[in-house]
Amino acid sequence: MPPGTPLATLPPSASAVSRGPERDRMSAHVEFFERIGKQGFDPRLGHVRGSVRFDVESNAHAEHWRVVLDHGAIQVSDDTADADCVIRLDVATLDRLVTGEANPTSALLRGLIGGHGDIDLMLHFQRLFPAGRPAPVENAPAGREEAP
Amino acid sequence: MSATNVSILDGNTFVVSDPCGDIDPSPTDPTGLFSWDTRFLSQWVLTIDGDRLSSLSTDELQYFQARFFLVAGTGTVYVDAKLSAIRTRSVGDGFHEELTLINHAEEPVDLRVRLDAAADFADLFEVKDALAKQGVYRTRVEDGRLVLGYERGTFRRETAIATSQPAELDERGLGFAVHIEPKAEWAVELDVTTTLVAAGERLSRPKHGRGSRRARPNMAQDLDEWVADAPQLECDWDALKLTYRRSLVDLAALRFSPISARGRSLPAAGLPWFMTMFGRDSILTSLQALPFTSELAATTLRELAARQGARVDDFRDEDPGRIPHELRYGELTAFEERPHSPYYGTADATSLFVVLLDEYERWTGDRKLVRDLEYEARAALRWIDDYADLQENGYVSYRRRNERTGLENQCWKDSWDSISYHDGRLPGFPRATCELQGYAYDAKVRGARLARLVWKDEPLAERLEAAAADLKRRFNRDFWVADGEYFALALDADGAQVDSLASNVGHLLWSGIVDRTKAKAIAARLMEPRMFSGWGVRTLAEGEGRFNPIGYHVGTVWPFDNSFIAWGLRRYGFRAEAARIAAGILEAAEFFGGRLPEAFGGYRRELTRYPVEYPTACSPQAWSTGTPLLLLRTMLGLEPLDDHLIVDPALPTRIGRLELLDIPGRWGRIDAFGRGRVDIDAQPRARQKRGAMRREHSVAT
Repeated sequence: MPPGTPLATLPPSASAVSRGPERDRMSAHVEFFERIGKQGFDPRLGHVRGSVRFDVESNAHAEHWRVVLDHGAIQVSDDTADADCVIRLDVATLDRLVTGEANPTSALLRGLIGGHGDIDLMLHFQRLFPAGRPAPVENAPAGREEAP
Repeated sequence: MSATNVSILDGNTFVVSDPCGDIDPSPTDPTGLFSWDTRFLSQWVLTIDGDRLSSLSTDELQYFQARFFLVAGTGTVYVDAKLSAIRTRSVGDGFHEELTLINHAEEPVDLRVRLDAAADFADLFEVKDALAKQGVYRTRVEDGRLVLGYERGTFRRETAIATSQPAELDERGLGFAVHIEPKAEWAVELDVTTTLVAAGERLSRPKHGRGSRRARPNMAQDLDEWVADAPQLECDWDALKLTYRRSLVDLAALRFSPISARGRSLPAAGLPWFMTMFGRDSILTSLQALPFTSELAATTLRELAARQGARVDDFRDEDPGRIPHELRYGELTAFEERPHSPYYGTADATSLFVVLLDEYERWTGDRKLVRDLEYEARAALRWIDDYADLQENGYVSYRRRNERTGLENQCWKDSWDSISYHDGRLPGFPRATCELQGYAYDAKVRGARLARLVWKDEPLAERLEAAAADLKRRFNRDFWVADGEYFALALDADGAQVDSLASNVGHLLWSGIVDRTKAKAIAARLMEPRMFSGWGVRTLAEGEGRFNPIGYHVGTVWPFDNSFIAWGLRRYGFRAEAARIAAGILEAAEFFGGRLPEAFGGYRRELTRYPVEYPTACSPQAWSTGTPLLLLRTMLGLEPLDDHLIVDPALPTRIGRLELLDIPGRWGRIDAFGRGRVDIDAQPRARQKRGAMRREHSVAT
């Protein structure tokens, strides 16, 4: 096998599958994308500009979420157009990411997320994911809350 | 790690072997081929006819390349050696090795050449702590290559070994049946490449844009360009020239490009344990290197900003606005058995991020980066007030929330006993160490400058300046140990002074938080025999309860610490004291072949006559590598002022003349010259009489 050949089966390519009319409307990631789309702006994305597309494997289908970031402005669509950063993952991983259950960097290292393009965009985008799991801790300092 | 081991490295890929070039399996020593915090090769042993070879000599040709001269046989006398072997190894995406065998005999020989290969895929933390693996190993021979693999669920790592000539491959290595004519030679090239596999795709990118199966990119040319682009040093002290050259080369070696950095690089912290991005180490090294290269600072700022904390996550000790402490890529991080994805437990990197951003602008004039990172810099400044003030007393303090795998001491002195009272007791948490207050003060002052100059936010600038002035006033009152005339090492959980005298007070001068009226006393403390060993300032003063001249943070001398202390002394006008420290550290560098270790013993200089290396010091280490650079800046008195560079030399007489040519910055390129006129051995009073304290000529061409 020549070097660089993918070692695992790639998720089905975007063009080969229909996108999501049957997708689960109750899924956590659907809520997440709808929420950030509706919100339309987040200052934590400061100077960031570019597009991120999530190619989501879900049973026999593929879903696509394309997010355009422009200096804090956020636009969400289910467009399959090319993007500066493309992230591939399955629906369970995505649901865990958007609820803060999974950490994007760990998931990437674990092989749960693949992708190509400008990974820097994904690093910024993940600021929109909520807090991670709590640590085994006693006497956590009081008076902390998440910034808006 | 054995002192006789041979290390070659590039970014976070490095190979540590014995003097024969062999790697023997060790669960606890960092020998092997490492990349992305994973050991991709734990065994690599050459035999000929079943016997190992003996080392004649080893040449470390470049930081990324070594050559091993070997002979057949393992005896101590080589009179019968009719066969020699040369292994030339270069690190890249894995490593590339050329093996040449030379038959010196009058007859032809037939040999069985064998390389035993194995990979344990240990996480660097597992090597450090000798932990067991949870996944499965899969080794296969495929397409003329030996592929060593490891899988734990979707986590996969692979090492592929390819040869330039057909080899007999099996699961434990590779062999060659070799025939060599009299006075002839035989050669083979071996390529060991590493792969991180994620959702069917390779994660790591080939370095230097090369994706072939050869593991040797064109690094020699890259190094030549790096050195040629740096300012040129001319002086009459040959050892200093050697140290400078060593620093530039080691800094090149330590350059590390995170996957997201698109080929740009930042300084990794040090070999072997710290070949990754660290908030504190990458920032301080970038600061030291700014007059010589600004690229490292720009990448450090961008990469840390991209990973700035955005939420409250106790496992990672993350808060909104907090700058990361450490990023790792190994299995334990992937499975969240360690919090380094990234880990945020540092109480200084967030302030230092703002300090570096401002200093970067002062040198380069690159306001675009300051605008690009406006959100992150503001969030960092907010973190200081909203999240770092754990005791609600107006001071930055730390206490980990991850009590299992988080860091107890979140300042640069991060070992367990580094912060102690004069009587040796350890304070509880939170702890507010003094230098953290200095960094926070400096961040506010510099943040105000950026707010006014670039972000055009006058109210923010005024708020920050008022907060800085208030912090300075309170600090000089609350931390001052009146009967000893120095600043306490920390305030404890009750707000009481942790009353040891430690090198941290030197950093306070650098940050500018010290009242002018107290600065003279601090300079005097730093130069007293209980602090200054003759080589440099000790981390903890002799006479303190926990003082130990070979205690990691409680008595050793850290070159990087001294470089910032010297910079601080210059800031407050203590030219001779700064020159004395610079001379001591640079003289120590001579004993280490120009490569300063992380730390050396705090014995008195007149006792040992040479600096005693700390037993397990990390080397090369980034901020030790940056130390000679910052000392050069300090001795030459280089300070950017708008589009000009002020040059105000205060060189020890040890140096006759010194020229630093083509210093890059917003002015283009400028040369700086100085002559050694500061008599560092003279007593202060005598020195003043002889006028050695007078300002020398200023040059700004």
